[in-house]
Amino acid sequence: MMKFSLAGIAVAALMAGTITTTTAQDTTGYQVDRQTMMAQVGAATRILAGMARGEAPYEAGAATNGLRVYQAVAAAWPYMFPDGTETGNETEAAPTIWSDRDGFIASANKFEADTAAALETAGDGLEAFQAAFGAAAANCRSCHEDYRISRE
Amino acid sequence: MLRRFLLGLVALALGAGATGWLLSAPDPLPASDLPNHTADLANGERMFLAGGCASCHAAPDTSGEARLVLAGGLELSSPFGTFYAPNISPGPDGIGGWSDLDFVNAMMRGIAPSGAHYYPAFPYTSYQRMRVEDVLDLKAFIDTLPVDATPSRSHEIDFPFNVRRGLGLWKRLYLDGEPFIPDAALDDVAAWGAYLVEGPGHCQECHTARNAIGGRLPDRAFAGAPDLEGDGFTPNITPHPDGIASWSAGEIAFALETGFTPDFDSLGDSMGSVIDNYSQLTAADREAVAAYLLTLPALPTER
Repeated sequence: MMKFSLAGIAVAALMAGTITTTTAQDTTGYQVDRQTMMAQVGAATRILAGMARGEAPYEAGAATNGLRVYQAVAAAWPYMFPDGTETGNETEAAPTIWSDRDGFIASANKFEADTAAALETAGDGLEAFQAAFGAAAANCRSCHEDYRISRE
Repeated sequence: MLRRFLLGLVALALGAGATGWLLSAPDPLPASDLPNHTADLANGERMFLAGGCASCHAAPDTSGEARLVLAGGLELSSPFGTFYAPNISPGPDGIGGWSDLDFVNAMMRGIAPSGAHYYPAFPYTSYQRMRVEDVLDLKAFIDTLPVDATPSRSHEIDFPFNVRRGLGLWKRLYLDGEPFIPDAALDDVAAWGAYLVEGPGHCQECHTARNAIGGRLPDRAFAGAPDLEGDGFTPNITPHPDGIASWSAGEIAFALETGFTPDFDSLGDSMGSVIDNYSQLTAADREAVAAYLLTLPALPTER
């Protein structure tokens, strides 16, 4: 059951990225799509963190599926912030995404690379997964520190 | 007649100036207020983490061991101008050579060894609630950290706030020098959390709204505030539906440890650095903070 829901999340995340990048003239939807994608990352993190902390039994398939959600979102992320989507829909995107474009893209690329590396080992047992997940999830906070502002 | 009037005006102005000069004078603690104390380095490190020293005083965008090099340089923009966190490493460009009394007066009275007032961007309005012993332990811990030679950068503050002496008047309003006494109704865990939150943790400095001259509004305590640095909003952390009413104590402690909210959103912005610090405290300290936050008066967010 867990595996199916994670697969669904991964597909939805991929679709969110695909749909919005093909309708570039419509800028009002990006903020909502970004929020949806991040909610999917959050949903995947709930499952991954539960396993990493021993609150749920470790399953190799659930571990890799969760990280694939990360990977899908990370791959689409640099394309989700075109000019004109700086504000609206209560976006918490920080102005630094546009003023420090290179840094922002490097941050998204690092998330993708760390997730790809984590996928190599996340299926190799609980301890390997814990280390892999920790390295991938550290990107959440580091990116949010620089490129996301709190609006409540 | 006119001459007498003008002379009167001059006298009044001189009187007001003299009064203002007296009222704005720094009010340091005397050496006799320092207890006889043997430093506890482990407690000093705990205060260093709980107090978030590295969040402003480590060089920007550093992580891991580099956060122990207190070179300064972080830029804090505000409605009053731009502040630059100074070097506080234990060397000639930082606080090397400071006496215990110098350090205590900086932390608890906002006064430099020269006698000048510090700006309250340095959150001494919270640190004044710390136990003197904890402040001394913190100094002892900072004295073990690496020396760095980065020169401190001058703040760029607009008139009239660039007149440091005027801060003495501000302190008369917002710095009472009272020690922290937890509410007697709190249990031991929440009382310890209250100390961490109100003293070293200085949570109110960002989470409580301020008036036009930067004084905290007590009736808006912890109910969220416009971000002084930009157009963001620091969240309401009272147990109100606008704040964290739906969070359990365990979820608050988990957020302080991992940065993940109950929805597995990841805290960021300047709170990210706070998590870097609080993740290194003990679980008991994080649980104490959580217990205290849940006892706060529930206030709605006002935008």
